[in-house]
Amino acid sequence: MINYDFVVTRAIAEEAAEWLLRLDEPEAVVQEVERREFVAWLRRSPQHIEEFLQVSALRAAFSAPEARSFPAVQALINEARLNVVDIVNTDNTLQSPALKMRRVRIRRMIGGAAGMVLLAAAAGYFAIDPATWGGDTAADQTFTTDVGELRSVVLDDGSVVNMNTRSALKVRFTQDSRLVELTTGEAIFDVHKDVNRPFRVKSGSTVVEAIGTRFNVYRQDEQTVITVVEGQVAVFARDTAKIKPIKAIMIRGKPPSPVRLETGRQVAVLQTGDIGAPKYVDAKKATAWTERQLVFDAEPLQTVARELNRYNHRRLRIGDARVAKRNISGVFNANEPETLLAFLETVGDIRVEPDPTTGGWILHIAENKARH
Amino acid sequence: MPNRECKESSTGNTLVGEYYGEFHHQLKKFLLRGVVNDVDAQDLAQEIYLRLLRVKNPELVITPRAYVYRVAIHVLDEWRGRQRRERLNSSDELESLEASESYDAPEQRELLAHVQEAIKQLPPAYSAAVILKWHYGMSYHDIAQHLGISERRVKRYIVKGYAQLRVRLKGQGPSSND
Repeated sequence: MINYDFVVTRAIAEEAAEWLLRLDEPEAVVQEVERREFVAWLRRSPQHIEEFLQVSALRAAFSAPEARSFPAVQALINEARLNVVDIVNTDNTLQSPALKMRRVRIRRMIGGAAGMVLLAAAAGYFAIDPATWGGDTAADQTFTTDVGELRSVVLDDGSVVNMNTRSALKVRFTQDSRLVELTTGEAIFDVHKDVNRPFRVKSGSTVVEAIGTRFNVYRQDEQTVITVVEGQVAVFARDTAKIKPIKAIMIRGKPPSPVRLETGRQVAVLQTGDIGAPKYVDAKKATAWTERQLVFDAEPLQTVARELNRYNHRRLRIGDARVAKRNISGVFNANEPETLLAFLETVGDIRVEPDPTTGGWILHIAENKARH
Repeated sequence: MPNRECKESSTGNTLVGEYYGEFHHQLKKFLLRGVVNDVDAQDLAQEIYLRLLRVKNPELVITPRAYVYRVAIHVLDEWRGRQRRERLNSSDELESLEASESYDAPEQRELLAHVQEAIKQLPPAYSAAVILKWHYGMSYHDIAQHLGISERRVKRYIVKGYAQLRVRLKGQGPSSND
């Protein structure tokens, strides 16, 4: 785990240093495209920002007034020149372990390609196509979050997944596919562009495919809601009754009539395989949870309570059917149900009662407004 | 009206300049301490990240680097303000507070000692490229001449050397705590 952490750090640190060198070039006015690329790079993950700050700080430290005890110029040059030949020759060994591993894997793939064709003919794609979720392999990675926990995970390809409370992911990357299964909960996927390896997220029987984009997937009991924050995705409601399960995913290029979603669009896929009509939404609202904020716009109290309960051990319970349908608008802190309760008190016709059995609260409609 | 816009943007630029200058003090001190304590740097980065995501039109960030530094300094200021309020509420350690905020040369020297120790572990060509560029401010062209390699390779050495240095310093974090 620590090793993996260092590999990621080193890879991002290298990119950060490359950016610093490029931005430092005095003669080159940083081009528009480059500027955009840099912002996009920074937005990839907090770790990218951290590494850029780190390289900036270390670079500054080298020229600090306290930095005196570095070897003299000539000593550095002599020492380096003695070693230059060696370094050049052994440059391979200095590559990041990640890169080396990738090389080895590629070679192995090329070597085994002929054998694979035979295997494919014999067993069909079903057995060997890595783009399937069948069974577990040793290479699978899993990530989970606890109640109230948010977590940001950098995947091997540089994609970043922000996981919401009480969520679980299974990640399987292979030579030509990137698969993530959202086994429960919700996550935002900030997909690193790789045209040769589509990025697929599976939630129940629903599959979302992206190449390079940012989207939110929320797996609920009865449906999966997909919101595109930036870019474009294809949504497959895999109807298990009609389509052979694996083929639905593996027929590349000609998938069974996916719904294409672009920036700001949201779609809900029911467990039955029915895809609702895409609608325009405020993508910021769907991703406000990354800041631990829940935004409700005339949402029934039942939904509000369910959402808040995802983040807290102390639960809100709906006391009766009428209170469930009461519409609420507002922005609340996900980890502080008290902010909602305080708000409800001001509404007037809702009564909050402590729930002695769970330590939470029960919501009722107050019969008589005058009665306190 | 156009005049006013002009004025505002020029003020904006000087502000960026000032912030950038300030980087050498506040932010650097904070981050170098982060060499020992990575968690603070992570928190800072997380906060900047969230703010950066909130920017509606990222292409409007004209000087992204200055922007990142500026937000970082802003966040640090906020943290410091909060800390100060908390501390003042709990006790009256005003003097020690003042002391901790002033520029701390011995601490800087100690942190630099870490860096100097770590850079010795790098392949000599890597450390030479990094030190000649970042400490002595030599041009790529001159470094390339001195080392008898291409400018491209000089840049490669700096990038590789830095990344190795970073991982070493990060690895020291937990053990050299306190």
